[in-house]
Amino acid sequence: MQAFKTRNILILAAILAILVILPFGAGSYVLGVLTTAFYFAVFAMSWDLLFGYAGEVNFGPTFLIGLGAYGAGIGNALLGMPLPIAVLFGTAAAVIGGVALAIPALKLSGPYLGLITLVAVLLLQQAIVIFAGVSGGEIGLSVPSVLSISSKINYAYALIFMIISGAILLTIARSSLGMILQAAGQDRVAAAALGFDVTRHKILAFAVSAFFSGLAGALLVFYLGTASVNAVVDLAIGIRVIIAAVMGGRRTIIGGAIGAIFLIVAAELLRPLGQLSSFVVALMALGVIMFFPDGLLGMIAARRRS
Amino acid sequence: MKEATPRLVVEGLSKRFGGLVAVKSLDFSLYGGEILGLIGPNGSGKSTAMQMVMGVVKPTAGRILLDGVDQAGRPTHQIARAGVGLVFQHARPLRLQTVLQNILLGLLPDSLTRLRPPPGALDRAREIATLCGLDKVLDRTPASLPFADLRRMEMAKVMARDPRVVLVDEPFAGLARDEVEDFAALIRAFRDQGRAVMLVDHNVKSIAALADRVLALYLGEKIAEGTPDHVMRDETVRRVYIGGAIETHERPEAEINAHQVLLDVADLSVFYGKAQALDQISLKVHQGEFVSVVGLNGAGKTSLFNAMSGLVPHQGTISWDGEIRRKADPAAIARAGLVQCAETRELLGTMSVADNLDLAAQRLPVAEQKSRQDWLFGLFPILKSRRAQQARTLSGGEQQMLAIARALMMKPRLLILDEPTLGLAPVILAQLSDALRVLRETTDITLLLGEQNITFALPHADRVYLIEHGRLVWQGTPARFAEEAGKNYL
Amino acid sequence: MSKPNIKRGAGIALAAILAASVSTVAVQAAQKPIVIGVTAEMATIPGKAIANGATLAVQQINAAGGINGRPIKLIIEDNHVSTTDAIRSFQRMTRQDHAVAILGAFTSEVALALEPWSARLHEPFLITGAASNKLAEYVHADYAQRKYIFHAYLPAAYLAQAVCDSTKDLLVPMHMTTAVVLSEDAAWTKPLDAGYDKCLPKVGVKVLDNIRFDPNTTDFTPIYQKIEAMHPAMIMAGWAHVGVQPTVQWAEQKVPVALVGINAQAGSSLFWKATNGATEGVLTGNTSAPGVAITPKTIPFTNAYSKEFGSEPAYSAYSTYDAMYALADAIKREKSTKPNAIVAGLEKTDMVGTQGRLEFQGKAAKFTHALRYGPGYITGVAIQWQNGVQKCVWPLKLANAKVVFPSFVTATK
Repeated sequence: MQAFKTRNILILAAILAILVILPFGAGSYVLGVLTTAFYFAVFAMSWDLLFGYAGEVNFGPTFLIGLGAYGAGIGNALLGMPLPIAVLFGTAAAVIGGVALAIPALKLSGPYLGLITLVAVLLLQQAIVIFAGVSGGEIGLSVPSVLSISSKINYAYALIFMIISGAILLTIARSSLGMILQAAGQDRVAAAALGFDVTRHKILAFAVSAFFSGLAGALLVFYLGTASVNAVVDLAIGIRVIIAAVMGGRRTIIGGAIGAIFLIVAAELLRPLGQLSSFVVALMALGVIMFFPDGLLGMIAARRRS
Repeated sequence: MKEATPRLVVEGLSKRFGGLVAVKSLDFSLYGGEILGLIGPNGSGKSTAMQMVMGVVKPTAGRILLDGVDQAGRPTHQIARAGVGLVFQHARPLRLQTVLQNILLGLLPDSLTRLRPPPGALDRAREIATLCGLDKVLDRTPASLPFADLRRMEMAKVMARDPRVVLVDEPFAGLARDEVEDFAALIRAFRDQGRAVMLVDHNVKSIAALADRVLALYLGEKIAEGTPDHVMRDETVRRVYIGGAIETHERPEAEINAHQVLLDVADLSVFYGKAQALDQISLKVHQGEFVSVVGLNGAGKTSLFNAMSGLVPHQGTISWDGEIRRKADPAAIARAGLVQCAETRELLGTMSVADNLDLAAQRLPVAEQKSRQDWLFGLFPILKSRRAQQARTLSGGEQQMLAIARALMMKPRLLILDEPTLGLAPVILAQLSDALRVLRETTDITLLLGEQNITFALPHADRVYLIEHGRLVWQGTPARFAEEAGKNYL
Repeated sequence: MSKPNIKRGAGIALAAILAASVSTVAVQAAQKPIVIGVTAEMATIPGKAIANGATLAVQQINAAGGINGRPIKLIIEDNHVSTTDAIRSFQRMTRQDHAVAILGAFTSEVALALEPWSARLHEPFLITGAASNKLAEYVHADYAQRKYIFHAYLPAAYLAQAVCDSTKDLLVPMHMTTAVVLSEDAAWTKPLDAGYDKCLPKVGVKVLDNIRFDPNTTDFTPIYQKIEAMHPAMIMAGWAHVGVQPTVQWAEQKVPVALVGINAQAGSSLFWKATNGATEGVLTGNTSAPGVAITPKTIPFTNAYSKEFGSEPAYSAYSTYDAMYALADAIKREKSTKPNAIVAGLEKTDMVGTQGRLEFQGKAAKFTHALRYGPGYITGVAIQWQNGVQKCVWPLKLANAKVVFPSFVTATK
């Protein structure tokens, strides 16, 4: 058991080492694809904290991501905030929005939280379209500031951000707090009967998930130089985040990162297939989820055992 | 041992679900250092009462005083922190964590900022695990544990909370006989540590050796309270569980055995995950026979019938009409003539009485549908006057009649009736009993009746099987039942 | 496939993907052809015209021996009218495909989002359909950093001017002297409306009201009723994202007010079919018109275009076609595909295109790197749909028809 864990850590360290030295060999195009993938990885890891641990299916990860992205974008483009302040502003918008959504939603049981998060995304999307004067509407909002134009520096920012976010999320997931969250996710009544305020814990999980989703969304805006509905709010993006997390391995945090990087890289490689590429990627994701319900991490573990 | 002032005082506790009164103005007290058994058949309100004490269900009225402070209506986690613990019958543990970590969960504070367990918690968890007999499986995950150890782990989690009042839901359900004593010892340990313990179960028998005091519920009301012995001898309790004086009408054995065997069950066992519900049951039903399977709630009757109907997986063989069944296809089984009228009735609530019957008659020719419906309306005249009414608006007794009529509409060769008396008033029981007599005397339908109410189960039966704790413990004619098995029934 | 095999298969697939992702690093774009990128809104009439205009120009240039003997390799990417998609594809074409320059974008918002990237990546970018004044003003504000951007079309201020000029020659003599400005709410119509407000009074037309509507509007009845109540002679349109809906409803509801101004989609020959003939009598400003010899290049271009694509070109096809030639000339002239050389080459542009004489304005001008407007350069045309055909009605020396409004337009009488 212990040897197995040590080996996992070694493999993880090896992968990270490759990612760290990659900029010295790879072209800016590959770095660009991976940079997007790293932000996506944070989306998926944040989502896994909610689903894998707190047991709540958030169908609207892009509600949190979108609030962070548009909060930051509007802060920078319209309110004239400098980039770091705009990022904080967007992140705060995501946390406030996430908690404001979670408090009433968690009072409902069963599939209702999922439905509410779904509706929240549609509302946000509509709001962006209606208030096009502020948000840039369907076309998108262009921001004056960018993190960097160097693909190496952007890559470094995204990689460091992903590693720090992953480490914090993993620490929370593995802590006492994570254990209480899992207990609440498994059996709400039983967890309450052990004296845990289930609702308060789940709201905290929502807030943490919103914090990292929003922060990643905000940074992504300043990487792309733009915020648009189809990049950070659209339901399809949310579904991709969910697929990444489930495909990578539920209740692992790291699995979300692996799934996200896999999905983005695969989609980019299959781009020559045109419209068919997203279909093939979806098919591959379906295959992994069907044959390995524990995701890519589960698949690797199963191979190791055999 | 027992303290002078009660630790938990329940006053006028009531719960209504819409029109249904689940618990009616219940009063009782629970002292530190005693074990109280709360018993009642299915639907008596005992689970609702327990859930109200834990705050899982909010009471409609009444007070729940814990050390003098009213807890009624407070959220579960606050009641838990005030000192009430509940050992769930089926809880879902943390799958990825070890037994030790699961116990550790009970020792964690309700804090949003603490990322590590409090100092000493791990040692305390080990100590509790040892007390509960889990010291050898500390590092295993729940999925790899036998059922009894899972229940021990639930005990350990509650023990870790150090509760002043412990509620235990069906303490021995699913346990093997030799494991029961271990659990009884654990529960006694709770008492001996000065805690107030309340066991919730179907009947007195299973907890008689353990409980200091028993409180019996029926239809939401207290019907008896006292020592286990006293409650078991109580007239009202005996009437609820056993019924009144019994008159039997069995047909001679030779006459029965002259008919061929219609259903032959051999060595049937049923498991739900790790919990064993049935242990190698064998029984035979002859063509045209009326067989009663009696046993208290939780004995395994429903599991037996569901296995016969192909609804739950099982071990052992089931033969129908002389042929061993190879595939459990519920629809095909029903078409072959084995029809079950389930305990839960399964009516289509928003459809009318007539529609419920028509739906069951889909496979019959139109002329036969009509004649069969007329015959059923003759058997249950009240249904005829209610034919246009929505099924869910019928009274409990009428719903039961409709459920039986619907099963008969499917032209069964063998009709299984599972606990038809559940929650019904005595006057309705008499009507149902009459209907069963007519079925037995005027048709060739074979009947298999599952009952806890002996008075209802015995009068028309040719033969009786008694099931206890998933095992067949007695079989014979109804006339011999009272003498050989009746005394130990409760 | 047995289950272990599936697992192995999946593992191999995963490995292959990772391996491929590394190997793309090694692949370098072939040095021989000159790669030029196009970003277009492929699902729209003007967007498709951008792609077609570029394709036709490249075909002709390559057939004539390419640029200094090197063929052009054209890459066309759909930006889905999304700033994010546009930026991603702009970066991809620049970095991965090593495009020496990128053309296109008719949506001002998209073009505005791409401009900083052109500046940051030092990637020459020729905007060939969008019309916002801000596009060129952006270059003017920081020429040194942003000189890679060229507005190879007209800023909205010039479009408004062209409309005013044609109105003065055509409509004011018909006693049409009142107008309601009706523009879609978009970046390019803000300067257009400002232009209308400024130049219409100068030519003797009174602006009664200025109405802006959401491009998602489907029912124009209330808007037309409101306009009718004001009894103007003209509706001065500012439409590019919309076109079919308001045109069809104008005809169906027999709004008795002439529909003039800029109705960009009406510049395409497909518009007759799209509106089922409702566009009869619609007057719109454009940079070119089919069958009108604005320059000697115009008619050969429209002929080749309709032969190749089966429809008459929309306005953005003319501008993209001309921009591609200007770009090829610049590279030819400077004998280099380096960004600074291309910028220098484009700044020396002085050629006759399909729209007129092309020249980019200098850094001192308000609209730096926008096409020069006015007599001798580009003046635009006014066309009117008459009996299913686009007729040129202005400038008068090129006109092949006189203005005729449908009978329900009573405001002119």
